Amino acid sequence: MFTTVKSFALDGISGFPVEVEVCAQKGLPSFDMVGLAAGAVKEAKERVRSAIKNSGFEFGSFHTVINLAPADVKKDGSSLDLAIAIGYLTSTGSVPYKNCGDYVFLGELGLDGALRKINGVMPILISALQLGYKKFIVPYGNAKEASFVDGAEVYAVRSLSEAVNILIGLNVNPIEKEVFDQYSDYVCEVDMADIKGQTMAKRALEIAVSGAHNMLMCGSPGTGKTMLAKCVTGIMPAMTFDEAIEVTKIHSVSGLINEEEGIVRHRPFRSPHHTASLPSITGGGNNAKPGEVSLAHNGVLFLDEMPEYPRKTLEALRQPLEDGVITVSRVNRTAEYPADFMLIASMNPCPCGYYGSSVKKCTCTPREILNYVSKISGPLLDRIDIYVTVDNIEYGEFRSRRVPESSATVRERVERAREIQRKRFAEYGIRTNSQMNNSLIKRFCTLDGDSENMLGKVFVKNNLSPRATTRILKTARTIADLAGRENIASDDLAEAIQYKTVDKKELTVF
Amino acid sequence: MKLTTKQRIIYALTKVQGIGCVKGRKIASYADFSDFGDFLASLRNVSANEYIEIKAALENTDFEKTEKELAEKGVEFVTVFDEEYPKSLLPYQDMPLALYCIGDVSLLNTPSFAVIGTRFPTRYGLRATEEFVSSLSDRFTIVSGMARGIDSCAHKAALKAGGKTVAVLGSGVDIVYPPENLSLYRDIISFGLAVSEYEPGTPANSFNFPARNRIISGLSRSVLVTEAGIKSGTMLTINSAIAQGKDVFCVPGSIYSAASSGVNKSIRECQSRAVTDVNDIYDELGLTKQEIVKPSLIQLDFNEDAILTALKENGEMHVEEILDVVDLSISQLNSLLTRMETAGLINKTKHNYWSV
Repeated sequence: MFTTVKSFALDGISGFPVEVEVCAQKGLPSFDMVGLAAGAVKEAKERVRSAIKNSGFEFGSFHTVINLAPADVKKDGSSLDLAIAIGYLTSTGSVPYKNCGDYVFLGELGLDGALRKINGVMPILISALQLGYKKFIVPYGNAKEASFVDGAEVYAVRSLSEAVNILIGLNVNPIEKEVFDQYSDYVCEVDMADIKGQTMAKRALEIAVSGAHNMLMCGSPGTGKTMLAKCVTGIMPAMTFDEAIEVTKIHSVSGLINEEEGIVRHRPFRSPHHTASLPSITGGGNNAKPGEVSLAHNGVLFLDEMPEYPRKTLEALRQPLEDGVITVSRVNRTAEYPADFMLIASMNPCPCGYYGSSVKKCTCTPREILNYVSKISGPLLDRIDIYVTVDNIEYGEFRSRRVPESSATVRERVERAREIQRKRFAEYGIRTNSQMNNSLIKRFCTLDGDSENMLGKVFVKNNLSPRATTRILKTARTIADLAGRENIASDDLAEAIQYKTVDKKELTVF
Repeated sequence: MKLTTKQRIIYALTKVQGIGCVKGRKIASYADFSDFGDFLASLRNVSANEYIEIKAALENTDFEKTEKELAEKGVEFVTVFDEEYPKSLLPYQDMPLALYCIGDVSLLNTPSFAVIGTRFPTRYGLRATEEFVSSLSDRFTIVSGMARGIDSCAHKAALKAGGKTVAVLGSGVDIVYPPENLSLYRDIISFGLAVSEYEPGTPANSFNFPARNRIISGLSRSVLVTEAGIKSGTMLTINSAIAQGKDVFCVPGSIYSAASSGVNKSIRECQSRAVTDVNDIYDELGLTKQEIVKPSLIQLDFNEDAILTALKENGEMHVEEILDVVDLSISQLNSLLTRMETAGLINKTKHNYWSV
């Protein structure tokens, strides 16, 4: 008998429908699979055979051909196992075919017939809903993730036999929808209150996070740059449901979803090591998998010791920093992944790390310092809005009477500022101040006479480039939002000037 | 340019090994330079070997080719016999017989002031250099060595203030070293003068650099050192200036700053005078003082007053330290600091550090 069972395979961060056609006839016993099965799909044959036997079904002597349609698209991943097994069982008549057409089958089979969770359930479900599919049978391990998809009727099963039970009409209830609570249990690796001093850097972080500005921290080893960066998770605004879905799709494809959570609730904070390969940062591999820049979508990409990264890696960040997406092209596949992240980078002022330090003497030559700093190219520096120097905390500061603010307090301000931006930019298709283009800057960053005057003076004194001025304006806009002001006041602009970025020449003079 | 017979003889002399500045100047003082034959005949006190070498140089040098090359590069050849040769260098026996120049040669005989310092400056040194040069350049041509750091800053400040500047190079006058100074070099040759005792095309050899220091100090009435480490080449210039009997002025620095250790030592050993503003120099040289334009006082509020007082007391302060003094949030303090900076009341010494 000939049967068709529906399933989905992954392509980038969306799924595409695969029809598993099974034709089992009397004849010389065989089990063949056609239809450009690659990698894990090719091996499905053996898993399916054992799973069927070990679930108590009969694996008869049939001449079996399995076709994965469309036949000209390469299919990878283990999501098709369940569909192949169901296709075989219905085709050989062990299981009635009657209800099969209603469901989309997803899941990887174990040799004992158990169903294992697969990557990419959320993107597959979302794509399938758009194509009009309604009912899904997914592995139990993916239940939580699937439960966040609106409009899908999802049945979670633990094994092949449970899936068959649904088909033969045993009463099984679909899983319940989860309500997304964006404010639940905030994780906070390092609380701002735990960091003494560094008020300047902390304020800069607050502004950077509020407007999603890219930021560079420069300082000697041991001054706390990494610790400051770790604070970021604690002050990041909560994600909206839509943002969370975007992030979950990417993380799901990469197999990074926590089974219990099912969704990425908090903004991602990715810190790839500087030895990371270029494809691991941008995305790539045979199947054009998402890289770190995409995994950091809607969150933070932290590059510790930025000049240590290969030049190529840093230059590759320019497109995603500009466009918020990255296109990964490979022979087999081209995929476009969202990569709208906020860059936080840290660096030492020189190879030995102590240039300009009051604690230790620098042993580098000017040429070495210049070479070191030159690893960060001008175009990349152009995309960084905020710059701070982090200094050694001296003894006196540890005893300072000032009580540092906690991350929770700061986060409240950040949330308010983001809310203002969200409302302001609702009709422009952007979310934060850092994404403003020139016409929006002209519109929302108007200055009063006093401010114009000050900016003019600073412009002349520091020999600023027009680009640097735009960055100051964007930062000032965020500071005004933090203060809840409708227009940029001269105070906001004055503060923004303190975090202005520097050019290469200035990086080499302390 | 066309070389005169005198210039040709001197050019040939500079090519002879063993005839250095001192010997060359001695020969120039007595020999007959009217033509090659008379010159050779009038030579005294030279060894047979040197005589043969000089003769060979006179006969074998292709002067037409040299003239063409100099003309192509726009280089002027100024010898001790020329009017353009700096009078200030004449008294010293170890000065070169000739200088290769690109730019305004008349600057060699203007009142000049050397401003030099470390190749690894701090903001403090750069600021001091800018301030001193901007007023010194009203009265003097600023002479320096176009090295990284203070030297380059001095040239730039002089050009920015509309003054004149002379760069004494340790390489050929057509060689830009350090390479990042290309645009500065272009400005110097168009609005000032670049000078070298080495033939055009001579690469930047480290052993040539200390030697040009004597020309920097020789050209100048006095020498100002704004920042120098204890082992820097600037200390050699101070020594040569003192040997030439010039006044040396130093801008004192923090006792903790390595970049000021040299100037502080020089002041301690009474080699030089500590100066804190340009009028100290004018006072010493007997020139009329210049009115220093102080930033106009703006209405100070309570906090600004507190910051100014604290900065005056402590010299340099970190933002964190200032926060301890005033009752302001970091946000308010940062905007206040920008206001005070634009008003000219305070200065950033380096990132996060402020001073009056």
